[in-house]
Amino acid sequence: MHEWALAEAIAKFIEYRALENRVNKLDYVEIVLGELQRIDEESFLYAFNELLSILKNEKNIEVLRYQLVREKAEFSCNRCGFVWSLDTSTISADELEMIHFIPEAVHSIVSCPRCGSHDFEITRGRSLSVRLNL
Amino acid sequence: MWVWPVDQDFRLLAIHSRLSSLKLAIPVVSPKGGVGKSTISAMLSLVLAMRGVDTGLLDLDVTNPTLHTILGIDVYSIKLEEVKGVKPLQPFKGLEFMSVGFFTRGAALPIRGTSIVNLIRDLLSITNWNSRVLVVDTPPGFSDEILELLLLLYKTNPQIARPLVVTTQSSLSLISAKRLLDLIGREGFEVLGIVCNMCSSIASVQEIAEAYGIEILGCVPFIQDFDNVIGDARAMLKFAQSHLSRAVDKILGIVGL
Repeated sequence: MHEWALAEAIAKFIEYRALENRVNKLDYVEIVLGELQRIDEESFLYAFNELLSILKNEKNIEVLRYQLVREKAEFSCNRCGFVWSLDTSTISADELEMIHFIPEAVHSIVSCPRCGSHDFEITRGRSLSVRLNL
Repeated sequence: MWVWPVDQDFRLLAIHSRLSSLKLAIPVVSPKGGVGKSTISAMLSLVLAMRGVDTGLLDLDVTNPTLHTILGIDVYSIKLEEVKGVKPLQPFKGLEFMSVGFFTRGAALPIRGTSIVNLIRDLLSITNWNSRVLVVDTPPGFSDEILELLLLLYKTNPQIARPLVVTTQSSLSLISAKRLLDLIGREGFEVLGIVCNMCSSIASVQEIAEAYGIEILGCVPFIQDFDNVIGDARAMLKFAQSHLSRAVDKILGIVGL
């Protein structure tokens, strides 16, 4: 599953940063879930918890506390400056699936509600990001 | 201490892990458009797979991918298999294929700068390659896509990256190829060689090859009814076998086959 691949990438990142900073306990990890990517939280958490167990048992690296934070998606038009939010009611299930894997695919699907341009930036809530408190 | 992963994007480690099984990565490059990078990429991959090398083919022309059309792959109907990531399509024995076209259903993708980098990192961090050699078709120029690819390969293992320069006999293409070879050399990558496409004589390329100490790995003649070959991988393979044999032999030598 795609969620597993994302959780695995974050687990590798946690391991890397722990080794880089020579610590085996991380106080806090914050995982930001961007609305645009529509991560399945249940699948992601299942994978992430499994990987954290492996990290603790096999590498002696422990995350003491983590939190998932949801971030709303926001777009800003490069042509007219309009700022807008994601409206999934205008996007088909197939298109949402494409965006789920590659969030930039939104550029071929969504356009600025004011001027119609596809030249816009995803300013918030794109995909996953991680903050660590070592 | 709060640490923001700005310069250590979590996807980089995943990409490193996914690319580190490669023996060789071949960015197929040319600063000029229309010289046939996609055709050469497709042909080279098909011949490598036919010769028994597990080969991956990546379409890095992310805003306007066309390799799927050249190979006759219908990206509209295919759903890629998910196994701890996304498995590339296996259109033929020994060949894996990945393109952003699977996620845009072939539509144009108007993106720039950071968005291109994000897309490439997302794509490579989830793609589950099982190949020894990765051929990468790149867009014209030397901008975001190629810089990002070379960065990711450099961070994985700079030794595996061997760009293949494609040119035609046109003076504009040859000048561009020289500029590119200067740049690749300064970036510290060893060139695999140069292929002259739509080629009737290698004389003009010979000068570049001698000046830069690189091998001419193919002189691929103009295909008269090219539109009839597009979408017909078997016809393309038949045509490519003789014209790209030097390139293939060199690659086989590098990967130890």
